[in-house]
Amino acid sequence: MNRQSIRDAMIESLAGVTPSHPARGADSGFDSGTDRLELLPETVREHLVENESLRREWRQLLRQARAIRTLGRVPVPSDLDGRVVASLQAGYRQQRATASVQALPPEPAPLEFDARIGQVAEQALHEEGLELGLLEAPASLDGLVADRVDVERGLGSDPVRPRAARGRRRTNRLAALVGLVVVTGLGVVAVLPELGPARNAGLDAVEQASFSFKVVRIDDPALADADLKDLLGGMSGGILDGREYPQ
Amino acid sequence: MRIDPDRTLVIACQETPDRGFDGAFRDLYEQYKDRVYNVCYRITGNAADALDASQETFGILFRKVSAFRFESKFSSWVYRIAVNASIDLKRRSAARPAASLDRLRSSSEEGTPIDFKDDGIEGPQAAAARRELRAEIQEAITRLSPKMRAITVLRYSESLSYEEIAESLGTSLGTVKSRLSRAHAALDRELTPILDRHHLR
Repeated sequence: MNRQSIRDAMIESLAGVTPSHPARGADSGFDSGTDRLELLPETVREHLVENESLRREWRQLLRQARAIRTLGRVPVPSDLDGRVVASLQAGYRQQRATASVQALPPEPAPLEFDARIGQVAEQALHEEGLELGLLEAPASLDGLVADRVDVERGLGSDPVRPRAARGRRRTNRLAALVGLVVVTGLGVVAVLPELGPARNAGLDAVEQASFSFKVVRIDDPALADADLKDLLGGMSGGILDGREYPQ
Repeated sequence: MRIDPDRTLVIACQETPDRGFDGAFRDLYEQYKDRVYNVCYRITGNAADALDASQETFGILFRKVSAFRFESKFSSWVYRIAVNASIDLKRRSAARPAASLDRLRSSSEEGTPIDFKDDGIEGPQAAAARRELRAEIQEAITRLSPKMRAITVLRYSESLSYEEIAESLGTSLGTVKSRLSRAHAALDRELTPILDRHHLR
């Protein structure tokens, strides 16, 4: 046995150590002050008989274990019960609220909204140097779009099929997304669904599309996801990220 | 493989997920509250943080018990959640350096164990010395790194075997051994002056 394996064996043998007790003497019957060599395996004990430094190390380890065991158990405060009950009930209420919101039927967007999106989309497409195909969507949008495409194609969510095979590559899909942003008041953001190969068709494509919107209200643009802000800032000509207009 | 001693209780919780704190989950809470609170207390080092971490632990247990598949011992899973909740809480509170008088008070008073072995024998002076010693030992543990603190608490406060510690912390037996050895080296530095001062052999 080398030194480290002897030390490891000594530490493992500390499992049987009981607390020290400062209020009583070494010979009070408590596990204090004795070498407790009987806790050690025979093979380790033999090493200790021959080696004073190992015996010292064992005594130090014993002392530490006894000291920690002195701490004992702490009583559980009575207010833990109330706090746990309250937090579980709050969580339960939250779950029910979430479920009821998720169960709400989708609301069609107002016609006025369609027109405003069309306006912005056309404006964006006519801006010089705007390259929609290079924009990167946040990963969450990527997933949402892929799932939506599958549902619309009647494929559903098939966990067995590899993700890549389910839709077109992200950049292609993004290239097909036309005009993303409408800003009203504090900022209402509408993301259009996939419009097929109509990347440059502009307003026509927007008008022909069967709209379904995911509407996100951003009360404080400073708190919006950085990728989303970049994306929307680019598409809105800087309206959303404050480069062109004050927020 | 051995049958998990908590299997019946856990399955009862899984079969009645909508009953909130009533029914099986209350039994589970009663069964584990002492262990969870003590682990949280020893790792965080004070009653206020221990309460927060325990509450967080039971919240996680409640939300996730239905997904538990007995791939590990249930108690190891509970310990793992309690350890992580305590370490996370300490990490967060380290980032906000506010001192609380309640915490100072609770760390010395509420750390007193229930079990006084020598009632009627120990005088007030000895009792005070013992309380002071315990507070200092607890502070020494709190000064260890989070990983060393966790392993020390699971081994000496909860008396877990190496296998149970490995399962609770998601590490190998070899890591448990080496981490415990390093924890003792650190404890040697932290505890020796305290134990010398209290004449503890």
